[in-house]
Amino acid sequence: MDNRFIRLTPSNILFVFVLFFGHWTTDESSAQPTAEEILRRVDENMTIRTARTRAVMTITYRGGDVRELEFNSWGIGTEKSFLEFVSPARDAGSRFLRLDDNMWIFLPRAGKSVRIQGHMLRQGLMGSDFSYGDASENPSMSEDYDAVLERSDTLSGRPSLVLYLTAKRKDVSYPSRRIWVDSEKWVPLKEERFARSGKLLKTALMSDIREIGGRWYPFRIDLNNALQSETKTSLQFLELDFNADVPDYIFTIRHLESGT
Amino acid sequence: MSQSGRLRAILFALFIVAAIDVGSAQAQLDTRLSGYLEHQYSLTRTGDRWRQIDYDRFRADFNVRAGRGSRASVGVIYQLYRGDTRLEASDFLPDGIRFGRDSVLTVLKNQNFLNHAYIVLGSRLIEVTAGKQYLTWGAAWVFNPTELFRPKNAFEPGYDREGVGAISVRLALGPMSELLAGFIPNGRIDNSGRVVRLRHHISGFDVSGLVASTTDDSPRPFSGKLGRRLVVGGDITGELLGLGVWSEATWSRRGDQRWGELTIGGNYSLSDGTLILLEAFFNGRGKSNGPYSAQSWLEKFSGVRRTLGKTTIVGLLSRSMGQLWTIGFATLVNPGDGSAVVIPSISYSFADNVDLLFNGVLNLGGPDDEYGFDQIGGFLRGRIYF
Repeated sequence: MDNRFIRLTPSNILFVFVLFFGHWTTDESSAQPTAEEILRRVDENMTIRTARTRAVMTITYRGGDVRELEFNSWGIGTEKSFLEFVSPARDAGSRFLRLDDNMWIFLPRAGKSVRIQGHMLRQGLMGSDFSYGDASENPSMSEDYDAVLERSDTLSGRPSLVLYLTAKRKDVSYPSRRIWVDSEKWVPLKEERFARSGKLLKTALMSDIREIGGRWYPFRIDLNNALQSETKTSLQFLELDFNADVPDYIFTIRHLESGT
Repeated sequence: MSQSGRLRAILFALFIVAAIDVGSAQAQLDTRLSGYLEHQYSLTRTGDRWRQIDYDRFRADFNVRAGRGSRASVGVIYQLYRGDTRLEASDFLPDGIRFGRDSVLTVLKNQNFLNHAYIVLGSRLIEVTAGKQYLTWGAAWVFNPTELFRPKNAFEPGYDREGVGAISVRLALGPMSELLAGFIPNGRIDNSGRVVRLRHHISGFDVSGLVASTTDDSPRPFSGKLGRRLVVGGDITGELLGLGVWSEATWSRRGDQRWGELTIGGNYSLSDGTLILLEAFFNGRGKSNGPYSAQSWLEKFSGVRRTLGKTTIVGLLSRSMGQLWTIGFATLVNPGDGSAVVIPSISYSFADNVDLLFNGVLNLGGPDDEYGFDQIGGFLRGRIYF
């Protein structure tokens, strides 16, 4: 039996992170904001109108093997995103479309698109530590989570505020999270994602923070899956173009299957 | 020029075009060459007889985007066989079937052909595709009742399939909706296929409906056509109680024959990434128990019929081991005659563009059963992409 579609567990991770961690204001308030204010500010800053990006995902295996996958992606708001892998040759032409909670993958050699659904969302993206679920979740944290400000901290030499988030709904990918937010640039520096049992599932570290278009963005994200020690995955943005001209036709099944 | 000569010329032209720096013409043309070289060695034992076959398969896909939504795509395949390439009836038909018992069913010959070759013209709203194209539908994993032209190999459903010569028109009805009308020339006009398919997205589910008429070729040599077949069907796929679920069904009429086909299935992933998939296929033409007729066997062998039994259960268990390794265990079970085939597999991502795959096949059934006649085998395949 062919298991290829299992390995091709892709999706638009780029926009998960762009939309999830994007748009952080440099406007600092003198008083420490409440947890809700931080989360609301984060959500406000995350919202983008359009974006076009190029990125490389690097999967490092315990034995030392390294796999690199490069992709281009496009997005409008928080609802629509499209991703196309351009390398390596094995995966080039594989495309992913997300419309709200719906995701599809196009397999070029089969000439067919397949819906990604249910628990298939737990599968890793192209063998990485990112999952379909990571890509399909709602990037608006204040909609899905209640926040508690736990403490102040210093992370990677940056002052940060630590928030503990508890899901308001049962159908989110992670029932609870803990995030470290840079209290000057309002960029998340670290995130821990937990299962319902409280067990740590994943840890994300954000770095290479640059100012672009008046916003601070993490250009690099390193993800560690606590359930397995075989791999580590990093995502490096090579190009980020916010407010790019992104035509709406990109986000259609037609475009997913034709690429034109 | 001979057929192989023409194909060599086409292939040569593809490489020349790909090798040229098209930067100056980039405004008009966006070109891409990709493909793979694959080698496979297979060993099979049927009864007391061992057979080994190996082949080299070269596939080159060339795609051109030519602006204003127009594009062209062609896939060239060269496949060279070696070994015991004479497939005899006794390898595929049970002892109880005497028809053509000792005859050679087919011989695997070296082949080169265009896997697909089509041009697309159109706009965002409407698009016309002409040539050998993929008309592949259906949400089911192995058995797709709505797949009318190129059924999957049940033992390896994800493997490449050829396109089908057709002219199709796609009308976009929305981001997730489309109407397709296709004409599939097949000799005489009245033998040609026609299909209309509408797909839409409703409340988290992808839904499609299809009406088609086709003419299947008889699996017996020189026996012509099986007759006109009218097909009505559709599929639905989505999420239910956290499970990925799908269903696909058709109702067919050919002459006095009426039958339905239905597939229902679902999948579940454990938190460690293990995938569990189950699918049940109900074939209205199938028999609840063997023995099966020679005609049924031949139809299955030729792809006209999907299964012999009335019910087939498909199971798949797959898990990544050490990430670069994936082990799988699949099975097809015919509960009617009690036979089954198990298909263990191991794949290894040797490098970015290198895959290795081992697939085994073990039949567990009696001599007249669908998955019987004492057969065991497997293949080892290496593939390098470019």
